[in-house]
Amino acid sequence: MTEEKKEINKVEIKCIRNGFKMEDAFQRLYKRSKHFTIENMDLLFYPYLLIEYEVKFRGKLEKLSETVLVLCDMWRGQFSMAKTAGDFTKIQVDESSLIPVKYDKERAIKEGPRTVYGEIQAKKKVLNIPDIEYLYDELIYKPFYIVECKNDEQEVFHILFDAVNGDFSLLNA
Amino acid sequence: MIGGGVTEYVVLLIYLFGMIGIGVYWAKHTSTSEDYLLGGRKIGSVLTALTLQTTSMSGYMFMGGPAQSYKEGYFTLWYAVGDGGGAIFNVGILGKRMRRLSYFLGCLSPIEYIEKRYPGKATRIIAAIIAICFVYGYVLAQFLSAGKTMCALLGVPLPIAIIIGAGVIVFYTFAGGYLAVAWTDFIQGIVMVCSMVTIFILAWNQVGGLTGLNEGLRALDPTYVGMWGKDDMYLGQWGVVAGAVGVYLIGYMGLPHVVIRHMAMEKPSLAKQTVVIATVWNQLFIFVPYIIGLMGILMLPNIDDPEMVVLTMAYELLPGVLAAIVLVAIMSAIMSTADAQLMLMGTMLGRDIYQRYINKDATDKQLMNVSRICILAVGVISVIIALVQPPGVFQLVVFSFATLGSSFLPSYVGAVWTKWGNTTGCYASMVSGCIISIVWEAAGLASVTGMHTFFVGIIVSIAAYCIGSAIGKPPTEEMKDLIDRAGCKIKIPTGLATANYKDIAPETNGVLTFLKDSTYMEERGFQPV
Repeated sequence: MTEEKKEINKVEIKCIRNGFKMEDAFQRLYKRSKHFTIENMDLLFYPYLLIEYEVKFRGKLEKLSETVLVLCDMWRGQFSMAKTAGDFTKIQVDESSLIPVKYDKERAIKEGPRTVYGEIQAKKKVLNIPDIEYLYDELIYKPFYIVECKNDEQEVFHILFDAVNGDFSLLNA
Repeated sequence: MIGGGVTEYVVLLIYLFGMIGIGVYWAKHTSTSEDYLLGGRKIGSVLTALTLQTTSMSGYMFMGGPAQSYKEGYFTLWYAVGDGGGAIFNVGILGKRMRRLSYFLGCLSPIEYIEKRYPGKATRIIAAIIAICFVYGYVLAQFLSAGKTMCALLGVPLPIAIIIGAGVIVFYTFAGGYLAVAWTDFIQGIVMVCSMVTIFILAWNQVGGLTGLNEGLRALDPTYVGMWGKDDMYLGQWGVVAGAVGVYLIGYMGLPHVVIRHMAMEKPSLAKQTVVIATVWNQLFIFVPYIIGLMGILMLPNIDDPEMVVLTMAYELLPGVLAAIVLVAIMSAIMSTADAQLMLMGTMLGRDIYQRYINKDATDKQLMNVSRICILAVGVISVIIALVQPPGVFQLVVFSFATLGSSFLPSYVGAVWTKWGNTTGCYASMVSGCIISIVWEAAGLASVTGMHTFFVGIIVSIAAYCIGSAIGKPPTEEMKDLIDRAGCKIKIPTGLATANYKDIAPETNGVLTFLKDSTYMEERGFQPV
């Protein structure tokens, strides 16, 4: 019965390839300190909409056209620029390990150019407004580990570990 | 006029162009509003400690402090005692907890922080009005100090001196934002320490060390070396002594332009290092100007203006170029305070007024431009006022300091140390602290009662915070949880606590909200987060 339920809840997602397996994460954390133990660890997947736009400039001396990638955090609705599309893989995961998509996809596509415009203004010092054209979008997930630890006094704390690049952050401290 | 030669102009010009260069450099490396307003939260411990200290001290330490000990003798060291411990109190009490809580609440400005900790319709507008008005008083006072220093030392007419000094401050704050301010403060901090310590050592040798200083002062007037001031002017007045120690010991915790530094630290764990660095800095630097003032009594007994004691000694003891560097150090002290305050005003006018009440959907770029325009406008208005009808510098500083401290200190400290402190308490504290300070000053009650404006203000403000919080609606359970987390009761192993989590900060907050509302942890056998 339980097995059957688990099977039903499996979904296929497109995910950024996991650069850190569980053992790698263990090693990385223990390298920072020996004064704690890892009690539990599991994957959690964070949703993003990867949006590609074409940006066209009309400068005095040259005409420029380039494609840019924007990532929209589909849980909180925050935007950032992506340097590369990344290395993706399709995997089957338990649906309960996915953070749900709360942000509206159409709204994300509409608001994305604002981030592109801001980035271009700041980085390229372009004063005229470029044409930004939507090309493509895709829902992707980024894997994180939730790590439950105990310190030497046996107090529990949690770590969020980025399974792609190995960054980590204390969740409740 | 003490200086006014070619050397002073050359050294000053090199210094001014150096500062402009830093401004231009950071303008090219500033891309998002978080970079502009808080240096992308990537300010390290050395930089945080030095900017905190240089921001706090201003030109008062080069002119006011030595002048005061020149006039009052050893009594003035009570102020230094308070200031010496000020960094430990300021960073130790607020540092780590405020950095954590501001990070959890997602705040960029000290007013936004107050509003999120004490949510309410009027929080931001009350806090912003008080902060903008009295930080502005500070800005104006710094421009006037800069102008008067340049005028006295270089022989430049006051209007031109004010325009040049203010122009440079506005330019590099306007162009590069917080990082420019932090880095120029760092350089200014080094210049300040080196020049003060050099004068101190040379004068120390000349007066025959501590024994020679004490014997010389005692021979002139025994009350110079007593604890009650020259001619025992404060004999038995323990309230005045307590005031002298206390003002600088706790007052800085209520100044928005000082506490914003806690929010810019790269990691909360840096707070401990910052306390150590700031304390070492203080012990090196805080007592020195006052003791130089004491040595000035022996070395320059007939000086006309005691505020010129450090400069006059510099010209007596150092070769021309080095003396000119001391001049630059004084300008540095003034500028490092002024630019931090200008930056804060830009932040408050941009984020707290423009984004909140004028354009809620302002983009990062628009916000950055508005902050820059506001900084420029504040600078221009200050110069106009300074030229048309300049108020007294030190009265303005003391009044602004007392009012800001009285209005905000209970709310900033209570925000991280109490779970019962609430919005009603915050309103009561801000309004009563501000009003009592204004009334006390306007009615001249400080001289009548012998109680300093700051102390009356802070007592009333703390009482109002406690009473207001007792009758108001308690903070939400979520807020209490955040305050607990900011307090970090759990002992985190050092290697993990110092991890750089800035890059995944947005996801960390997102994951936390998800975990709290889902069954993820329970289903997998985790303890609740």
